[in-house]
Amino acid sequence: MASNHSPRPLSEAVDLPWLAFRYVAGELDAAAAEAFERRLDEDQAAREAVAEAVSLLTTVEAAVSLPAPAYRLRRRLTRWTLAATGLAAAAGLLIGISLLQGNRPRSSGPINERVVLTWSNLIQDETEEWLSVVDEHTIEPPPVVAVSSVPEAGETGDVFPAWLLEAASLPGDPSEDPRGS
Amino acid sequence: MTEPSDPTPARATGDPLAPGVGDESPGEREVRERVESLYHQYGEELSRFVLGVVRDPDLAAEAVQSALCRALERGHTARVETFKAWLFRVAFHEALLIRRQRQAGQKASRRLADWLRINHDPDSSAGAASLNGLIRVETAETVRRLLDHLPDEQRRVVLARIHDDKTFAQIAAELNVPLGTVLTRMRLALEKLRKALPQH
Repeated sequence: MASNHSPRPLSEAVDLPWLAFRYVAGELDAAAAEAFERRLDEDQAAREAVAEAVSLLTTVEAAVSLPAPAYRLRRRLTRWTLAATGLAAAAGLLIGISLLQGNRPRSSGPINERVVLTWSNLIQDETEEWLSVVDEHTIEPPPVVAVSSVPEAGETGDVFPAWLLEAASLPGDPSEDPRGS
Repeated sequence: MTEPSDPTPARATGDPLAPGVGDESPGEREVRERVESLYHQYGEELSRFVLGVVRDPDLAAEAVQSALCRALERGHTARVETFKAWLFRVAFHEALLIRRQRQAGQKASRRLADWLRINHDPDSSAGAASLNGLIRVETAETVRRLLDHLPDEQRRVVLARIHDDKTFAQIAAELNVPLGTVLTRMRLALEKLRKALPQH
């Protein structure tokens, strides 16, 4: 009977885990599997290698079936956080640069300068127009409040305030300076 | 002599660790206690070894039980320092016998993925439950981390072979690489993953 601890060539010892894995996984052909089983009958190291191969296979399968561990979520979160932070920083930088530059021409050269200047003026005009529209819709005129419920002498009793009526009754060209200067 | 020379299989007759305890002699009690001790020391490893031979958790449990019965009957003939090897050899012969009996009635053997995943089956039997007990959560998590750190080409081969149960030839064809390349990737990956396993 062969010894359980008979010395084996180094290459066989190194290859034993791999050989055992292929045996367990059914990757050995019939002749190789038969030869390995003859070895299993006499070599305790080979038996232990088979046990280890089974342990490895079952553990890998169990590992793949595990729910996503916390460290993975943290890593994903970190990646997303980094990406979002980077994007926010880039957007902020762009906004800052555009604010600093304002309507100044950004290119040199006569043609480019004219184009940029025209473009800046257009943007300014559009911006003012847009702001005025906003003002129209957001700033309401001050409410007209009657100081007294009883109209004084000369007052019409209408809703127009006295200062408006007085201004409308002033003689002269409305285009002239009302201060007469 | 290092082992009993005749590890001929014997059929299991019941719980190997508690037959006739009340009637046992001091010598028999000593053997039983030694087998119990060895089972606690090597039982998991023995179960994995037998499972690798029969590739069926239920049959593996049966073979281990039979081997332990044999150990109670004849274990006293083995020296303590060689008892583990003797026990494994007895279990190996039991496993071969059970496998032959099964193959006589059922030619098709289970594929790798079938017996690896049987422990997830809610209808699994005692053998599957014992296989489930062989997997430690901490080890599985360690293996998972190692899997994540494998080079992508190695991880793909490992998952395709073990989880998807594809043959190396199929994997080579899918990845459009030589078979030898696939084998090398698998081998390198297994060398890294083995480091996660508890050492005996």
